[in-house]
Amino acid sequence: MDRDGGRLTLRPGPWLIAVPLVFLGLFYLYPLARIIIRSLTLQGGLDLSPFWEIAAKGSLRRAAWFTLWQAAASTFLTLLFALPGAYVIARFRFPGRNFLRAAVTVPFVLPTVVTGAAYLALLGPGGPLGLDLRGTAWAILAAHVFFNYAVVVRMVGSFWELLDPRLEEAARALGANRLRAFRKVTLPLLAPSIFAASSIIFLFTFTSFGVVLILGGFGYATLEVAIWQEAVIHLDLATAAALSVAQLAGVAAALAAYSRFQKRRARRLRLHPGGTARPPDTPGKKLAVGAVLASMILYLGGPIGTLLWRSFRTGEGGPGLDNYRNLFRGATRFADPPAAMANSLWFAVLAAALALAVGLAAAVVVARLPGKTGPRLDTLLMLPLGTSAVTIGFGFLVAFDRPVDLRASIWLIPLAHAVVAVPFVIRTVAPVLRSVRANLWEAAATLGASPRRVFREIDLPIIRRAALVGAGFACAVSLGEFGATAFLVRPDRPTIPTAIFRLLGQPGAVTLGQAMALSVVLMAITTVLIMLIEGRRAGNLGDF
Amino acid sequence: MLQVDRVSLSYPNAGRPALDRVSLTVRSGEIMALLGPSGSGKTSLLRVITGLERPSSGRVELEGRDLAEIPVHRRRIGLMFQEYALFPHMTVSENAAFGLRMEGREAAAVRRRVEEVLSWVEMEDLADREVDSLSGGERQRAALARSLAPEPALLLLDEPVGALDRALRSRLIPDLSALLRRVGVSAVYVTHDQDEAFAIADRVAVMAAGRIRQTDSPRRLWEAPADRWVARFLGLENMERITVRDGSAQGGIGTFPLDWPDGEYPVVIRPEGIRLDPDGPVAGEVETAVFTAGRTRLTVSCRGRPLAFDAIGPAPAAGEKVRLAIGPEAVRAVAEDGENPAPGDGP
Repeated sequence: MDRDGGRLTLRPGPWLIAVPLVFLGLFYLYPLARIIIRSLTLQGGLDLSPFWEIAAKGSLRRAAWFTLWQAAASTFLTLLFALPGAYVIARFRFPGRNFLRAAVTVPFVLPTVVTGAAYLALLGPGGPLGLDLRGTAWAILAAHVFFNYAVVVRMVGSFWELLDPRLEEAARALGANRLRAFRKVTLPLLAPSIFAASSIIFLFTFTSFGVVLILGGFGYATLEVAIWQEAVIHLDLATAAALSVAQLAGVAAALAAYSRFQKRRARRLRLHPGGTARPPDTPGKKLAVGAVLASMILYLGGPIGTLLWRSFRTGEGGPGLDNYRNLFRGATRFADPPAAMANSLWFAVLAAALALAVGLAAAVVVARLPGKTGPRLDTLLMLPLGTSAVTIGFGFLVAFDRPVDLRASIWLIPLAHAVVAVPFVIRTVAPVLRSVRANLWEAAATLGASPRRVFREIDLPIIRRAALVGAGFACAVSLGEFGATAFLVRPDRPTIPTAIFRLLGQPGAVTLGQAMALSVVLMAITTVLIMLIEGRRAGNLGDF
Repeated sequence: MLQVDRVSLSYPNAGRPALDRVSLTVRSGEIMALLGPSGSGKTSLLRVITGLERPSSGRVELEGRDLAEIPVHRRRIGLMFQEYALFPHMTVSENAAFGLRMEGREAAAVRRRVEEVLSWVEMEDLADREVDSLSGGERQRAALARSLAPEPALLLLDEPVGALDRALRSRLIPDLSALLRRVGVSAVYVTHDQDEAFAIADRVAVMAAGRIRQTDSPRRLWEAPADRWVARFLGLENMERITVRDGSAQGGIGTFPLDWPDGEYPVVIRPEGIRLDPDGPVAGEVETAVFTAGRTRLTVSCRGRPLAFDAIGPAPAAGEKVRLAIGPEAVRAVAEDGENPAPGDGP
């Protein structure tokens, strides 16, 4: 605490500002810069040939084109399926509404390999639908709609719920029919939040990796998958780097669109803080609400249900715990599930510790720096959130070969996970820190607490709870992280997601059963973590 | 007790200073109200006294000691915040114990004192509650208990009931007043509500635009506002400029007897001295008649000039012609804004 123009302020010292900046610089900006340099130079000279190669090579051109159109189609389909659900949850009150709203989020937080495994169980051979859609675009699109459903419900639905229904009623009273009132009043007001949700979904699906890798087979590759194939399988780092640069350009465009719509969403509207939901009152409405809800439950519950069902099916087709028993039997030729679980837990602890240390320092800096500096730094520190995990993993691979070769270090994977997780910690802690308003410090001071005591008695205990939540997020992120890990993992040190991926890639019922069981284990851990976090979160801390 | 001597406070990049040569004395055991509209500098003055702001110039003394180099946490000045600033991660009794723990008192002594102060505000039963679960009134009492617990030499209260609804406010103020007097603490009570200030304070300092315009007992303030601004702020609307000649005053509203030396005076006519009288000297027509609990507020237009006052019992309706008598005790000379205050006594 020092004096600033006679006013008491708590200002972070320079060393505290240095922590997140050095971390961001070293483990995010530097790898990114190395990727860009790698794509432009060969043996010290400027060389643009990787880009010409991409343009010339059919498979890569196809990947770029597929990335674009599947992202656009996924976004469109998600809106189509999820908007009715968002509307029903926003505007109608029914039993189990709060539970459903929370349950919708589950697919969103599921690790991508679990989503992939669930859709393989649902749409793969021997699935309950009797279809085999492996290696088709349909499976990929369906999985994308599945995990982005929550984005629409949370971003559009929560706004829709607060929108004053009297606006539409006023339009009706002025002579507009129902459809016209919706088109002329509600839709324009919703539009910014729909566009914001669309840009987020586009971003997520544009950078989709795990789901495409598992469901796309050899037929379909996004840029992310292509980067991985070039870097890890063909060991062609230059082409992979060029692909990364192309991918970054797409991501930047989606992010720019998002931030523009996000700003417009802040339009001053009189909102109903209590919400506007009412029970459906006519038989017609009841039927419609029931139909939407039923399809929603089926659509979101189906894959998870199938995954559970497959994990509990024995080789003979009856129910049993064989798959789980196989998991703990030890290493096989393809995977070592017990080791993967131990590694994952260990990485999660390290990643959470790192993310917490950096995130706490960053949150203090962001929340307490005076003027515009805080928000600007905040934007900078959020960049990893908009960058695909594949880019981060690939960046590590490119960057940390010299002067010291860190690529074999046990720290590399937790570090990459921490880069992904730090924004979550900041998002959790910074609002809490901001809520510790100056008057609490002042109250403590007038009651005789010295500046040091104020920090110990007021700030620290209040931050502790938020820090726990942030650490929980970091653990969940690390446990499910696949994109970056896929570049950095060593065969002798698998994580749960990479083990699932390996198991899914092997032929045979035993390995498939193991993959299903391991996916259920990962899903259970993630869900429990998220539930613990949600329970501890005081109020709503932002959209995500 | 407390001596504030020509204190000024300017913020960088702000036009006029937040405090402009403010002087104020609070006697031992006295409750002083700082009354003024928002932005008048009341809260800034409190913050300077506690040490949360450093004044640009001037002195603050407590019990004869200059406070300039004493940091906030060693001043022993309690401050009750407008929104209470209760520590959200502590229970009611932990909040109340905070100041005592900072003094390093032993646990048993802390517990005894916390029980005592919580009993003063009738919060014993809520001692273990989280502050988030308290109602507005309970928060207010918890904050009061917390600020009284370490026996501050001086207690400052910043709009302590401002966040509560009107009904609760009028119930709490007599209790608050009685408690402060029973404890015997010297206090500065900031409010923008005149009724509140009058109900609780021994003396009231009226602030506007960073200056203290007048410091007086509530009664003197009402009877002898220092200038037109203070009069208007207190709700005295009937301003006139009268000419007195041979025991008769002539103004915009008409002529009425007034035994003052000949001359011209700007005056305020307090509403309680105006009454309906069929033989009264001033004629007018009722413009509005608004009935409120037990009385009717009449605005009577006298030759185009409005006179406002309360009538008790049956009252004329809007449009009726009436005659008014004006008691000489209700007429008070006031200075124009910015002039020197009117002399203390007489016209």
